[in-house]
Amino acid sequence: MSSFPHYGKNTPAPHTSRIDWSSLRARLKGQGKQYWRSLKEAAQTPEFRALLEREFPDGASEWTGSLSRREFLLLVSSSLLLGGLAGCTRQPVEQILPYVQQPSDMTLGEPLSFATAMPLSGFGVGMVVQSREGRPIKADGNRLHPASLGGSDVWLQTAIYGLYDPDRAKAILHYGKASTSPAFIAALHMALQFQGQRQGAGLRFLTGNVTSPTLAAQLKALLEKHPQAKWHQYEPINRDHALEGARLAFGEYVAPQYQLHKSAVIVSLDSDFLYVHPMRLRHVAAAVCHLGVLAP
Amino acid sequence: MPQTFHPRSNSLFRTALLGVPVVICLFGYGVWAVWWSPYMTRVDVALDQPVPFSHQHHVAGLGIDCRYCHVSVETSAFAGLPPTETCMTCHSQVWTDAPVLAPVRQSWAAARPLHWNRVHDLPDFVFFNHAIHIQRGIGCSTCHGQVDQMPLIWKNETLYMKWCLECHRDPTPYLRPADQIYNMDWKPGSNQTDRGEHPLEIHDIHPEFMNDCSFCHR
Repeated sequence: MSSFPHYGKNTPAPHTSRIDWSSLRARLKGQGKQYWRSLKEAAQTPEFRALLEREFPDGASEWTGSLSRREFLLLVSSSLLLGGLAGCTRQPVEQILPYVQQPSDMTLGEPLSFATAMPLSGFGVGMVVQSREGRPIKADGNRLHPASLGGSDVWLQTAIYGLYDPDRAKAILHYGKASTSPAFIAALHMALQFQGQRQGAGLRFLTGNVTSPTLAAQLKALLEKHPQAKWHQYEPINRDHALEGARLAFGEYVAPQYQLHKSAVIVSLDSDFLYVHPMRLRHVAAAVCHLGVLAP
Repeated sequence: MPQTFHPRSNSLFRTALLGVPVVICLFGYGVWAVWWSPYMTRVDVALDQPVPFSHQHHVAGLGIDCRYCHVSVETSAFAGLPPTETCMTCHSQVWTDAPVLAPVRQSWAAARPLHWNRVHDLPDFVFFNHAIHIQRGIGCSTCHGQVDQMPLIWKNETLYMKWCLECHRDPTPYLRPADQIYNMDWKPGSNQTDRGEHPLEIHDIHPEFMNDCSFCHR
């Protein structure tokens, strides 16, 4: 044990030598890329080398602070225990705010379910959203809707988050400042009137995939009113190739639905008909009911 | 040989022998007294409200049923607090200019709710279901007292867990027939407990699992 170096209060601290900058620069100049973590390391000062040689730097295992370990532990444990005193208060008076006009079909304390629908790449899927006091909390499939049959997938389940998206527009903005609906209608009216004079030459409509007959009819009527206007459709994750194939097969753009319950064997070539197809939930219901276990 | 203890320490020790338990008992009594005092329980302490709504006038005086305002007491966990519209069903035609009703009119006009101070307020870690209590034979006055005699509402009972458990362990003394639920003057008859297990059967109450923690702490 005597061969061990004895570090402690009695070991004098080595004096700090100044770094010779000019020789350091000269040394580093011709050496290309050399990585160092501190200037003392680059300069290879004697105390840096001494630091490397010692396993435990001087005084590392000593607690030299004014607070002793015993006092520290006392403070920590007593704060933990005294924190429980925060519970020894009387219940503060809370306020309760009823409605001004309560919706007639709402029973407070009971959830209300709403039948609604959600578009995914333009194709709508029926949903049922459960809400409590006007706050929607759960989205599920609507078993009465042919595209859902009660089933839901990841997009339907997470649709509830879209309702609470902080980026969701809460008000009409005009150049970033809050504006009103009549102001918006007035501005739109003015622009459309101007375009009307030019047969809509400067008018462009950008929509996603439109499967709604009503919306399609409205857009058609608009295009008839402004013959020079153009309607662009873009869907980032789309079924354009499938639609093209359908056009080749059937002569028109149709979106096929499969009656899987009538088939014994299904071969799918790059068609994820159970996960991303517009009628995926129907396919899942048919596959589960009629085909048993499916091989991947 | 020098003494370790001063002569005074004898009397100090004798005093402490008696004094320390006494102090501990007094402290314990103090805590108990404060805990059950109206300061903590707010029993019989009427809370101020934005509008001094008098249940005594509306229920005893005018004869309005509880359920006209507290609509969901039989069907939902929450008994229901009337919206401003309920007040306006009458007060759009009577007392239309009364200054005391100004906050109600303002709430209606500005479509801003009234801020009532909650008198019967259980902590958030407790689930209390009004509907099941009403359906199983517990009347309003058993827990809320004679509301029709209150010009301003105060708590009649502590609503402490201990108080709830008294009934949950033995509901028989508190059960009443279905037609007496909303009767503020009902008192249990002398033969209430002599009726034995029958009220429990009539009301389909099973105390054996009503005392599980997760019954209320869900």
